[in-house]
Amino acid sequence: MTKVLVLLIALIIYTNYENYIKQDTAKLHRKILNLETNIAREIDIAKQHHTKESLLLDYSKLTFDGKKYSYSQAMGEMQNQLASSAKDLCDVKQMKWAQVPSRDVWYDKLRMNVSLSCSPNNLIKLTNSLKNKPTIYNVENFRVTQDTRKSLLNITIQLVAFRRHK
Amino acid sequence: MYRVLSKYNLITVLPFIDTFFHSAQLQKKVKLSKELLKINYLKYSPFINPNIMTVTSDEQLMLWFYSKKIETPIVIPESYLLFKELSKSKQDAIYIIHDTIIKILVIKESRLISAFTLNSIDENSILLSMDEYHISKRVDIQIQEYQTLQQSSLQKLTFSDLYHFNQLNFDRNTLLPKFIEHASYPITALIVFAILVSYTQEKMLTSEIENLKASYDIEKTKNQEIKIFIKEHNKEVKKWQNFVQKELTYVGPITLLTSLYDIFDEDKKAHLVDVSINGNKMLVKLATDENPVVFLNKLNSIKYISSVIIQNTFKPRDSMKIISYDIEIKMLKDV
Repeated sequence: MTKVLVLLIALIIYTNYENYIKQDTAKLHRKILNLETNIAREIDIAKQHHTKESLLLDYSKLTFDGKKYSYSQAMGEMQNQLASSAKDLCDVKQMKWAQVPSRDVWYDKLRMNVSLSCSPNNLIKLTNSLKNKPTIYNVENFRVTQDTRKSLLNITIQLVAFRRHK
Repeated sequence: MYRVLSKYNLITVLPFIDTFFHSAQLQKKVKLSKELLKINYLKYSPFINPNIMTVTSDEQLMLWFYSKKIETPIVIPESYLLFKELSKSKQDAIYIIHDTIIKILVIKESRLISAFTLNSIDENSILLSMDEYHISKRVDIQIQEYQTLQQSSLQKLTFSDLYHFNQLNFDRNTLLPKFIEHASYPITALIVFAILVSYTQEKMLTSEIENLKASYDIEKTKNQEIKIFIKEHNKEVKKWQNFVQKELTYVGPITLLTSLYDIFDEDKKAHLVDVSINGNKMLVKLATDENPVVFLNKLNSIKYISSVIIQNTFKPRDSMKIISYDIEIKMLKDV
């Protein structure tokens, strides 16, 4: 009788241990694996020797600063930059501002329709001059025809720059 | 094996004289329960309320009756051991063993047909037996040879022999209490051991997790500041990637124009009249007297262009043909 009782108590203890006390070892192994992966990632980050300067690059000059320039001021600055780039290269016939853009993203698109007359080489010099400026300039609509009388190119472009809100 | 079994008093070889042998024919090889054996074959026993040992081979049932109460779990009749050794010679004969008493075995077609004892040599009984079992050969075995045979057969005991002659009686009603009686403490010990092993393993894993957590916290603290910058950097990169994807989708007009001039400059047979670009569409008007397909192939070779079609060809008076090409520009990411 004592032996039956001992066996019974042992079985009850074992069942309770399995059901309520024993932890899920598979879960523990997963936890270990996750921690090891995380540690390896942290060590990897430390090894890369990042610095604040290498990470936080200054992109502010790529667009016109919304705090410094209002829409019209930015368009004026854009017009000045274009005029200075085109000086001695192309004959700027017309510059026309497009409509005020809606504020839907973190930047405004500043559009300017420009008519130029210049030689092919000077056209490339002009675009290179615009490319070399810190501000991003993009050309969306473009048309070039040959002026047969002056052997020059008549160019119509929509020049686009960007002004960030914040 | 016999030595070990006998050392622990697990086996008894029942002398020839203490057993009564009977051979029966079976229609097919079946396993008979003790009750069935008693019902069918008890009538052949010279003992009252005997114990029965059986061996079934092919369609023969060999029965040994004995009256002694034997405690060992395995009981083997001596006549069976002798039969096993003698049957190896594969000859039908009546074997007469000259011991203190005369032991007689009749083996026919490798089967034990009869086994009995005589107090002294009785030629008439032997002749009668030979006649009864249609045996013509008689083999006399002297005591020394008999002892060798006995030793040899004991050494060659097989597990099958032990199985046939085991006397263990498993009573269902007593089996469980007996099992609990014997296995209670070992099972309890095993359970305690299993719990201890499992608990120790768990403790080791938990401790490893704690150590790893501490290491992770240290590493994390080291990188805390730089991770903020990485996060900001990634945010900024993502923002500019989206910007480039949305605003700088196609190859720039000047790049395209340069590629066009490169083609037509080397080939003085044509010159550009009009080029207009809007989004991913480009219209090129070309003045030439050449076959339009020649320039179609040249335009197709420009890496920024995905497709070219000839929109129309027009021939003004006193001038070269004007060919209009409708061109689709590749996206920047596809170049």
